[in-house]
Amino acid sequence: VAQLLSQTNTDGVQSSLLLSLDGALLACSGYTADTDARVLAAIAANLWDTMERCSVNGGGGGNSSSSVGGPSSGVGAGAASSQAPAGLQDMTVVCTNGSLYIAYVSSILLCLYANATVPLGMLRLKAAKLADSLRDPISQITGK
Amino acid sequence: SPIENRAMDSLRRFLESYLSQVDGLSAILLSDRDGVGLMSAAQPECQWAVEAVVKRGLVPGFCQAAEQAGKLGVGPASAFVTNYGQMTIVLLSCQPLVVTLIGQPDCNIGAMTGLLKDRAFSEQLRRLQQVLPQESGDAAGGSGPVRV
Repeated sequence: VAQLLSQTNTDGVQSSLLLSLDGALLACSGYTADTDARVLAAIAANLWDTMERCSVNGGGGGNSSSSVGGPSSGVGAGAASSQAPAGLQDMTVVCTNGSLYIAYVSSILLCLYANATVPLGMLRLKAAKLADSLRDPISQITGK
Repeated sequence: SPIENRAMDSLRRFLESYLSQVDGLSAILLSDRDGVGLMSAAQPECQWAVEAVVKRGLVPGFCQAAEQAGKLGVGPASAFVTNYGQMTIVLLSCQPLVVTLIGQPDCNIGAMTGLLKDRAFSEQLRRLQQVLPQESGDAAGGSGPVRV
């Protein structure tokens, strides 16, 4: 898994993490600067939980859809659906010197940590491709 | 007073002008960090989304999360882009204001996050910032408009 995650760690994407919804680090690849990867995972899960609880159109841990983002958002593949899923699908945290992208993939969270040189669209695209590769294996493990 | 009403109407019309300029943008909400709305503009069919944002406490949640994000080691958080499936919501930190942009799933996120670079928009925000009390000790963003 770490080797698969490492494929996105290029051109400014510094690390990729898989974590559970409660913040437990499942897999990690890359450089997380001064922040321990476990701390990063905990913060990412906290951010996700905070924004998910404020969901304006229903909630529940990223909803029943296993795709990363909706079909029209350009993030992730999955079968086209005539009705967009409810709840938080993915989120991007834009900071002064970097950004963090978190997405819900088959009951766990995928997190990409990048420096300020990475365009947000490229970050989302890399996450989508990585999620496509991880979705089925994760579904088989988690049974969801 | 009539003068105040005219000023408020003028600001609302100003915000409404951006609803047609930015592709997929359905509503704009200006609020303080506690989520108390100052001004909003929305497409008629999307007014419910503005009310839902206020009711669910999205802005205070964003401020709380932004404070957490400041511990990532990449500087203070200036914006969140959240995809809720049926809508995309961009939250911009502009101490002491928060700008909430509600858009369709296929909205132009780049244009929304870049709204603070629009001279007219940032000038209006600057005027509002000057009349609102500044808060101290916040980790999210800094003083003045935060440019994404």
